[in-house]
Amino acid sequence: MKKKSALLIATILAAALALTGCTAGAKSSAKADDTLVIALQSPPVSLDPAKAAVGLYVNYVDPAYASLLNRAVNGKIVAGLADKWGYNSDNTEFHATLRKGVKWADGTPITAADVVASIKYFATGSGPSSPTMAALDVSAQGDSTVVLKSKTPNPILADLLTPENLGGAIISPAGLKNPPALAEATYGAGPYVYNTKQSVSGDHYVFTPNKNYWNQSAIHYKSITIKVIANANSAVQALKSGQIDFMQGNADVAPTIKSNSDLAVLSKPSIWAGLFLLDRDGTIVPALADVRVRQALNYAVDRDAITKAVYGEYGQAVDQPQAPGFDGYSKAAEKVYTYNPAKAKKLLAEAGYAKGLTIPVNYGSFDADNTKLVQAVQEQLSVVGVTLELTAATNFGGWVGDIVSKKFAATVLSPGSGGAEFPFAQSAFMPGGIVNIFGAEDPELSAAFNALASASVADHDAAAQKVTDVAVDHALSLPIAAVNTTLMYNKKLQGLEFTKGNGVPTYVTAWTSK
Amino acid sequence: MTSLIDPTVKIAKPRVFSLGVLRQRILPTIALFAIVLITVAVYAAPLLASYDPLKQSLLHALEGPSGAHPLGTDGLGRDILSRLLWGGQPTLSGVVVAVVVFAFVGMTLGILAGYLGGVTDRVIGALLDIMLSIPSIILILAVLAIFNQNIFAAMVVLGLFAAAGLARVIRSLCLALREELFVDAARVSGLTPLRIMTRHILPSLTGQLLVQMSLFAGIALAVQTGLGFLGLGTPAPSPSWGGMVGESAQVIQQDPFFLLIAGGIIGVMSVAFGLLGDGLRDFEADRRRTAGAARPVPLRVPKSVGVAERRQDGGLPAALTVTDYSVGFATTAGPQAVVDSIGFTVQEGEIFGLVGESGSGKTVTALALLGLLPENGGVLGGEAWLGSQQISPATEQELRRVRGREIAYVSQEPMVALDPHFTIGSQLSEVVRTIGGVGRSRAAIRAKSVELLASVRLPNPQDVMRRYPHELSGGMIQRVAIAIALAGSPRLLIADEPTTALDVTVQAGILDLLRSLRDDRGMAIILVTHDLGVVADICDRAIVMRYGRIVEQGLIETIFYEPKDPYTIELIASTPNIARDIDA
Amino acid sequence: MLRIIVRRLLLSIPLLLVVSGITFVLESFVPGDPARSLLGVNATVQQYDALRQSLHLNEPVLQQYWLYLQGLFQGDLGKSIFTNESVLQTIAGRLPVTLSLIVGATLLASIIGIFLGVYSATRGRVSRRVVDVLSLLGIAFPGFWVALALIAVFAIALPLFPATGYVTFADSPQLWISSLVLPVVALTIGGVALIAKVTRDSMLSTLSLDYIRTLRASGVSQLSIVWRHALRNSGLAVATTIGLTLISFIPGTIFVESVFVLPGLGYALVTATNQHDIPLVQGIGLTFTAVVIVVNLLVDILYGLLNPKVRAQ
Repeated sequence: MKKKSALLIATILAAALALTGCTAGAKSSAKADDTLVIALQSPPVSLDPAKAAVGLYVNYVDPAYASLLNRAVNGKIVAGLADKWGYNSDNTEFHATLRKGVKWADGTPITAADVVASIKYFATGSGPSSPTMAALDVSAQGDSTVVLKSKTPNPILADLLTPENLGGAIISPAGLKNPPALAEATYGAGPYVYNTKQSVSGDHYVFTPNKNYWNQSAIHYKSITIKVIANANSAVQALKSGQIDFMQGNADVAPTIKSNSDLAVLSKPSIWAGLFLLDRDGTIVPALADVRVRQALNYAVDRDAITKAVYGEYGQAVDQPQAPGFDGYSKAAEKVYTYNPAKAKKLLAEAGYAKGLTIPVNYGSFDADNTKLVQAVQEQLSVVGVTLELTAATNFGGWVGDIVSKKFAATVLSPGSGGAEFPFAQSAFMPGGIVNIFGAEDPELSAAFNALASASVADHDAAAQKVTDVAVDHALSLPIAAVNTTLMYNKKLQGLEFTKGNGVPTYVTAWTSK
Repeated sequence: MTSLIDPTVKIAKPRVFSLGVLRQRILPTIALFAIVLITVAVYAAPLLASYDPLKQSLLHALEGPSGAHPLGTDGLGRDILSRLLWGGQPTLSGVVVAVVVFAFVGMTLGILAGYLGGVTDRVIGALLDIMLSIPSIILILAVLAIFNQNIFAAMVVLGLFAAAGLARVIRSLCLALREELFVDAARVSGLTPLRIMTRHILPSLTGQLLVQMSLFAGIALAVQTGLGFLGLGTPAPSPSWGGMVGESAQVIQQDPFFLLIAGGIIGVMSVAFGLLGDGLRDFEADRRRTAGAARPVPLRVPKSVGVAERRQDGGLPAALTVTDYSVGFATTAGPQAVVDSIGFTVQEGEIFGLVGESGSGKTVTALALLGLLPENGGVLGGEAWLGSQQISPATEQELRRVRGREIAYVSQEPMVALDPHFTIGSQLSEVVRTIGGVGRSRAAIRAKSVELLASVRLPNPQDVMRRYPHELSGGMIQRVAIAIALAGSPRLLIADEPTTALDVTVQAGILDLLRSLRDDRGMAIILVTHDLGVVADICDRAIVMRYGRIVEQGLIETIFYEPKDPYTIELIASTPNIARDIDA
Repeated sequence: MLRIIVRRLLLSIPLLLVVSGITFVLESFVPGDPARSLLGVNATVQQYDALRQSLHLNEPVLQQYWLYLQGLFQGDLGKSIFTNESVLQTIAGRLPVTLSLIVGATLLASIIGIFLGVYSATRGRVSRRVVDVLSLLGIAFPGFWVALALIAVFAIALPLFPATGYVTFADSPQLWISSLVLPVVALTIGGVALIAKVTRDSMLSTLSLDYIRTLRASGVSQLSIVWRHALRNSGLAVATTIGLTLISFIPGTIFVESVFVLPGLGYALVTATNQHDIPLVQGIGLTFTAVVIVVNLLVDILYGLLNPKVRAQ
């Protein structure tokens, strides 16, 4: 009998505790306005700027590592830690001068020598712009000026120092003394510092204000927390219940918040999606060296249908490797390849592949949209006799490994944000480009690229479009759609916009909450 | 009236697959039907699916059910029904692979360990320990990564590690079987161990094996669902149920119907496997029970109408009056009586013998009076009165008030009469607290308990209180049982073969005790026994039962010296010492 | 009884070694190069070689395993290849989450399962069928579907519980409970069926035993007969099943942690396997094995406590 009443009491107590927990839980679900909580789909590769990923993932780095230069919402380069900068006449030299009185987070002053050391370290890293930095000659001029020298004309030296490329996200000497430590702690000069105690690696990353930041009024939050939520549906639930203020969306979940009056969707075309034709020299699939075959692929796909099915209203069909509104987007290249399976078959026959051919393709199955996209393309190509053999990688590292193994002639993954034509063309089509794994070279494209590299500001746009035109004419890739970057957020967030020209949203450091 | 069961007449075995049986097992039958139907449909996909499972229709993605697409379309406009049919093939084949590996490895290891014993058992035991300790999920994930998302490889690993659990079960069954007679016979006739294992032991285990296999099939299916949700197993674009679950989870908010279907088919199959397993287990249990007996059906007895008149015997109300009493059991052929319209009275302070051979219905009568028959048994007619209180027919509530307090019962086998998990003191105290009438004070309860133990002549009652049943001898436990029976100061004690399981010397002591209890307390005792010697020893009056009927009743002297029924005469004649006494 | 405990503890050491060996060897076959994943596409050959060297990836598998064992005996579980965080630290941080989930779910499943089992053992045929079907439904619904449905109803429609996230006990006991309610329920649902079934079967066979009849005849209350005596005898079977259920919850934590975004070991295992982060996979594997060993040990102890004959040894 005693045992029974004890059990009863215990049950009541537990229930009571749970109930108090409930109300406490519900109340604190809606969080205070002086904290910012956002959700990203993956944890950072590393907190080290030299190893960090770009795009939205810069948000793991940017709060603690201010860059030398910033990009304003209107697309123009503006001051950061450096307040004076400029090129020489032929884009082979660039200088930037540090603002007076800037300090590292630990309070020590920043010198030009520090910056040089940081950039040199960055050049050894694995970020997308590291190789570019490695090709430059960096030196200090005096105490506060840094000079970058490039052997060939390079019009985007300034861009390399913006947060989007992380080259200018300078690391203090204390951090450089022990590089492995950079993976789990920050040594920058940004408005915030990474708070190891409050963070749980792989789950949530917390940044708290840096009292040594030169512009205290730019610190809008008591804390910025980045949560890792891989499952988009879970993220939507967190957004709806007020636990987070912002999340990366996609075509599947964005429509589900339509009925929430305090939530909004911000969506803009920013990157192109489709197949990267890696093996353009025909190393493993000889057919791909023939331009007619590549063009046949481009004629064989119904871009409109695929785009609608995969991206719904969050994408738009393109047949060029660039999104509308971005540098290098060519009106002339629109509608070069209309949906024409008959023509595709004819071209294949002309090239000697009337019986069809097989192309091994890899893709990342961790990206739901890419998974759908590649299946749609596979089916459409099969109609004209081209068989895609698909291999899925379940995570980013696996995808990278597959590409590097040179076993695949094509892959699916967008290279990053749309943006300047220059870096994209360099990475994808130029020999030595990071995605150009087989080192294929197209002379006409290289010529157009070099012209772009040394073009003056006035001639820039035309030169960029020329590069795109060549890429399209020579069918160097198989673009399907210009995909939106879709952001879902709580309307009380101010300052969240897409930066003009590069499709990258403003970073968390620029936001405030009403 | 109901027909009497004559044990000498063979009861026809009810057919195992009769319609009645099927009706009892309707759920597992439906389950089996569902599984077979779905499996056939899946493997007949080439004939049944109206669309190529890979055929996309991009402009008609995520559409709901329509004439053209009975279950709607998925994210790429592919027909869900066709994909479901085709997708079932790798899924179910995977389940088959898992189950086959599970069964084969589990049975082999289990039989080898259980039958061969010794070193083999120890080695296999260690192996099983390891297999059961490894979190197989890690190996499954690794295998999926190694073999490029090949679901069959994962299913093999799953089956392999789950087999360890099966092996354990099979092993213990084997250990029991090894000692059974038919195996001994096989051994003696010189069959090799292998032969014995395959030809004799294996068939006996099939029942249990089938149960485990069907339950495991449900698990294998659930694992595939989980893997599909994680995007593992069966790469795109080939359909599989798990993969479709994963795809539908992506669009759960826009098209919940898709998940309902994809998850639903897996759910239905899982439940079906579970029900089938349950059904097989019940079937197996029934088969092992008595030869041919169907699962016991609860007895449905028509409620008696009106209140029966109390019979008066004149003078003092009898301790127990039984009139027209019939007791029976439920069978598939309807209720069968084992006791037919018997009647007798037990006077206050009388020791009354209920005599008969096994099968005569004497124990059944005793249990029926207390309402302690198993679920399939019950009183079919008549009444029983304890003094002026009716105890049959009576509700369970009414009987609970009577048990222990007015009538007590001591059963035949002392060794299993007490709960082995509690000390004597604990069990006795519990009864004293409930019906001992000394309130709830610990001290009073303990005092009374000790007193009760003393009253059954147990030396050193304090020590006995501390002991567990397995530490006492049969005779001592029987005394304890009697002490428990006395806790509520009952008017009537029913002792069911109280000495049958005891040594002769101990017997005398128990009988002595019973007699003194009657003498000291004026308690009536019904002594159920087949032993005429015991009856002659202490009973005052008795009835002799045969095939559920009373063939002789009256005073002991009358029965023994002037038996009227030939059966009684036969009984007396076959009891050596009594026969001699009487003849003399 | 002490002997049993000591014996099991001693045996657990070679067991852990064997498990870690098997895991290590198997992991070595998993395709994918962690060095490649860490460095990305544009690493130079020198960087790549240097990293492989420092991670000992070029050495034979057995050699790598030996190095690992050496570290293990010094209490060093190595560092995660990706986060550079000590594996021990990572596990220590994530273990409480997974344990809270598993233990909570086991407790809840046991309570519900035992109640259902006892109820269906002591009532009529119809209620037995109802219980059967109800507990089977628990298996039928995919766990993550239940999880998502719970969020939709109890976190969004009725904002009673947080939709995602975990609060440590140290931070706030109430929020800790609150953040665990929905995940634990999601995990529990699949585990009730077996416990209910075993309890029911065991109770039914116990209730037909002689001493139960003695108890009934002695006037002991039905409540006491069922809960004090009959259940006690079923204790062994039920305890074993509860142990098995707890172990079966381990893989379940993967999807629950994924949907509810709980920083536990289950989901970390999936990502670690995908990324070929061997030290972390090893560490988690050992941890899970240790959990299994502890559970088995507890069941053994429970055996002893329940069965006086064993306790006497």
